[in-house]
Amino acid sequence: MPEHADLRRIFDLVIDLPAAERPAALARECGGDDALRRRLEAMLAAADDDRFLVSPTSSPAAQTIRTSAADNATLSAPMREGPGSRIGPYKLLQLIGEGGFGSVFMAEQERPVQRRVALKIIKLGMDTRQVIARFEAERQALALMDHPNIARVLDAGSTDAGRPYFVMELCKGDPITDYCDRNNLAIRDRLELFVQVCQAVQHAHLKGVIHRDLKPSNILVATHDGRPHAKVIDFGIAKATASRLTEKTLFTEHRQLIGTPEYMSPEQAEGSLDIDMRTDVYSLGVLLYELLTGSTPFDSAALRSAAFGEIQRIIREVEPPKPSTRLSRAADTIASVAARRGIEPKRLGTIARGELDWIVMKALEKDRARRYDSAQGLASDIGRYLFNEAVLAAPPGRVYRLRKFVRRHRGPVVGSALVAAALVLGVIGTTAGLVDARRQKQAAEHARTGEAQQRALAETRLAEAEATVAFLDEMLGAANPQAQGRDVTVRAVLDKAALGMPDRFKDRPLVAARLHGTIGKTYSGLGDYPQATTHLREALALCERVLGADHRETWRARTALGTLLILSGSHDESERILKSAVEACERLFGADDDATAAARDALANLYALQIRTDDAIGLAREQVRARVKSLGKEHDDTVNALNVLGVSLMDTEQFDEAERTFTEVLAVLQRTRPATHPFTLTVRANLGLLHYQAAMAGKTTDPADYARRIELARTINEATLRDRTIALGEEHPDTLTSMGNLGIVYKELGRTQEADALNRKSVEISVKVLGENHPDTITGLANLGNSLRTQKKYAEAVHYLDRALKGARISHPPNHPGTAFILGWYSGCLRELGRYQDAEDYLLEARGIITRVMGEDHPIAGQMALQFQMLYEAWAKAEPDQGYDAKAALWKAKFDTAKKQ
Amino acid sequence: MPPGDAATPTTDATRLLDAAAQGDRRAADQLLPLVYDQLRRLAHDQLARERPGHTLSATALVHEAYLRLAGPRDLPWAGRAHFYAAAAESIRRIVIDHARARAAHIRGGPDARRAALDLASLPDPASDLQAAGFLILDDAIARLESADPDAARVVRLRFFAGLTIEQTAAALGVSGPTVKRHWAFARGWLKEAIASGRLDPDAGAPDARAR
Repeated sequence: MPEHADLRRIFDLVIDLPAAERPAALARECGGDDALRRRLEAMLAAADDDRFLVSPTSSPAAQTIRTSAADNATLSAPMREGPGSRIGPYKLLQLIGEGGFGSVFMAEQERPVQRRVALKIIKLGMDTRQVIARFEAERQALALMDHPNIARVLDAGSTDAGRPYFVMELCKGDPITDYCDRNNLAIRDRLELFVQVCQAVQHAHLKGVIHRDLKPSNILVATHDGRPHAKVIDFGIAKATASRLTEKTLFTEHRQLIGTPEYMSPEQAEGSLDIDMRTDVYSLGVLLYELLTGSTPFDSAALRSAAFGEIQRIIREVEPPKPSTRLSRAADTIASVAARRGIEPKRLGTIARGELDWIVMKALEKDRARRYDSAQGLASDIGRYLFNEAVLAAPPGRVYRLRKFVRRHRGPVVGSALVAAALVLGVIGTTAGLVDARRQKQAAEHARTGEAQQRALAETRLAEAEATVAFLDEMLGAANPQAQGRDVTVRAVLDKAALGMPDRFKDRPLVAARLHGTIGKTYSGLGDYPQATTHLREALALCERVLGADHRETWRARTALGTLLILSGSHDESERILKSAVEACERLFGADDDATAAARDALANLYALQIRTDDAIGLAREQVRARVKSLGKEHDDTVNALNVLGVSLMDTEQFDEAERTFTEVLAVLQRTRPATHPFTLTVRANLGLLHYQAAMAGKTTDPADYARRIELARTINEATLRDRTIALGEEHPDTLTSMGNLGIVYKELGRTQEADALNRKSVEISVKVLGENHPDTITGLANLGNSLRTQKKYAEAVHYLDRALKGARISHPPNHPGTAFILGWYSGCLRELGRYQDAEDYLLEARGIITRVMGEDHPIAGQMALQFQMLYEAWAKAEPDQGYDAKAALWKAKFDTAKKQ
Repeated sequence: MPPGDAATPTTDATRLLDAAAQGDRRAADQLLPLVYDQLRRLAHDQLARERPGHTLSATALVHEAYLRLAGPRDLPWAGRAHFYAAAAESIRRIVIDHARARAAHIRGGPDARRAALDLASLPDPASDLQAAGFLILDDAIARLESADPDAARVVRLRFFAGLTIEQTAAALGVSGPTVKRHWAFARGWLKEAIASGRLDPDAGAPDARAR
């Protein structure tokens, strides 16, 4: 573009000249083109403009990604006062802070004494007289405050321009959260520092002063004698400046937020006039939350982008996540949050869980009557925590003791992560019932309804719950953690619980049902499916007897049993149960009900496992959609549904979408669960399998992709097997799956010895643990047989393939591709052994399945043509003139056609 | 890509950076989404955590993103060029997304144009007007790019990634004075173009049609 070239050339030429020489040069270069000259003049002026587009680094004023909605100088009247100005007896020295309220200067007081002070000028257009009057009203109370952690407020007045100002003791230091993060203060040190703040606030409360605006920027921390020292500033100022909260006072007319909603108590958000000390307790709770987790209970960005009414609603109604929950969700920031607390990310969550959660949540209660009634109360509970005493905030009674017990014996009880989780969940489930029952009893008594019946009901529930807790208590206590290995201990706990059950809860069938359910699921997690089945059937029978066939709990129990039957390989019964569960739950409770969704999940799982892909994909997609809508993207159930979808996609060779799905699932799990969580391992295993299957699918057409994927399949399977062995033990069904899968990959890589060793081992354990006809055993037998086949050990191969086929005929649904593979391999062996007729039968059956399921044109069908060709060629050699030559030629033609496609 | 491995993104980025530095264009393209995700997460993190009066510069964001993606290796600036180009583009997209949502009701118009001319830095996320101004500015940079790609590249690195003159020069493999000249020209061009209304859709000025 010649015009631009001119522009650029002249600009570059002129910009280097001194200002005085520019006009002449411009006139000369532009000739008579006035428009060009004017444009260049404007550009040159703009280039010298030191306000436009200075880069983010080159100016201290240029601040980016800024959330300070409050600080918006362009929208409020400019401040005339600056360094050097004089306000009353004070001379402003330098600006030390700015915010929505106005500006803070370091100032020098000249009379009656000479000293440095902090002077804060309020810049909003508020009624100065009223502000000063309110301040005067509290001046006496403020004067009474004398505490090392409180900055004294010395004076107030109005500037010449009529703005109110406050004079305070000059404090050096950083906002408490910044200080803690910058110095990587450990949790313990943070808590001790926080106690200082509580005590300062308590002191003010005793003098009758409520702060009303506690937040990190009002709590400055500096290091004194090597220890952090906190000073609370701005006491008395919020009361003087802030009127009742309304839309007007929270926002300026330009909808700039001027308050600090993150730290605002529900009663403040409501605009209540009745504010007491407990409003400060709430703000302290928010601060404690932030010190522990690195973020405030409500997402600042969300809060700040919300409308006034919505801000009010959030603060008044929304229950924030517990600190430990917040930490567990913040997978992408937890590393830095933990690092600033000098602690491992995992440990941070553990520390927060329990007492600290309770303390924080008690301070954050919406109803102030349920909060700590003073800052001292909060400080004392933290003190108890620091000295390892039971805190007041804890739920009452046995529940807490029980949790303490689990903690003390953490080593053995948590030994097998999965089992411990199931147990503890069971305990929490039943103890939650206890708390509920207590509450109901209290409510019943409190209301004095006089209805004996209601009270009796509540008492029954309470008694049930307490009996349960006592039982669990005993059960956990009886298992001697030191004496035995970790899994044995868990087994011992379970076995003992299972044995003690029937007598103990004869009169309490619902408790028994629940415990049977928990124990059954725990056995299932351990991979002991027969035991699990016994307990889940018992749970179901009890529910049916007490609650009736159509109660939601009964259907849940049925779904649980159906899910287990998938694992134990009884697919027919499982399908019957789950189908009826989906149908009945939809009818009884609606399509979006939890119980319905759980049943649908389980059914989709079954279909996926059985490679009934059309059923599975449809169901899985529907599930994913429903789950995302109702639970969000990261919920466990959503993730589970996605995994099922991934498996189905993989089975229909939609590898790219399947890979995306698994990767997406893993990304979520990476944030929400430990890397060796059984479910995470399952998804990792699926990803490994996907790469194997995709590699095989593209082996002939895309060698580079094949090499890449088979290598990925190897590394993923190796890692998964290693992690599963560690996390679940060698005999766990999941571990067996990994052994088998890695075996296949090794075989593909030509590492036959290793493949066979793995396969033999997995088959051996599988038969013992799962039984001869379990689908996983069948797969193991088949793979081992196939491997031996390719090593031309036909007789031995037939031994395993025959067992596999027998199992498949019993356990696989009709048209299962797995059965087809067994048949195909079996047939190959029989051909080599000269049993042509059997070989033909099996091969025909296999081909029937493949063409029905995958279609005539599928590459596997093509491969089978080669098998037919080889069979008939061999047969023709053994029995010439029987027409087998012609058949061989026919199949050869088919195979050639297939090859070309 | 081994699943569940926290170190994966870093490894990927390191590999891509190395490949891009050796002239692999595809690697350079693949770098963008990684950098974008990282920066968006960081920015979001900041937005969620920062309190009034606390600021974080794009420079700090970009630096932290670099550390997270490439680790503490000290690549020569020339080797980081692709990273910074990706970072500048990522920051731009993040701010654009924010600004579009923010300024939907006041796009264009004289107020927005005035706000654009007052932009010293990236827009204050709380200001609709600055957001609208930023959209105008971004459009202007795109126009500049079609006329003078080198000048536009300098603007992006300086303005979005927060590079100094020297760093920009090293990243682009040119001299400091050259960067300075591009920078001065770009600022002059942009401000004049916005102020004169040359870029408005109905202005009919040669630049607007030349595309």
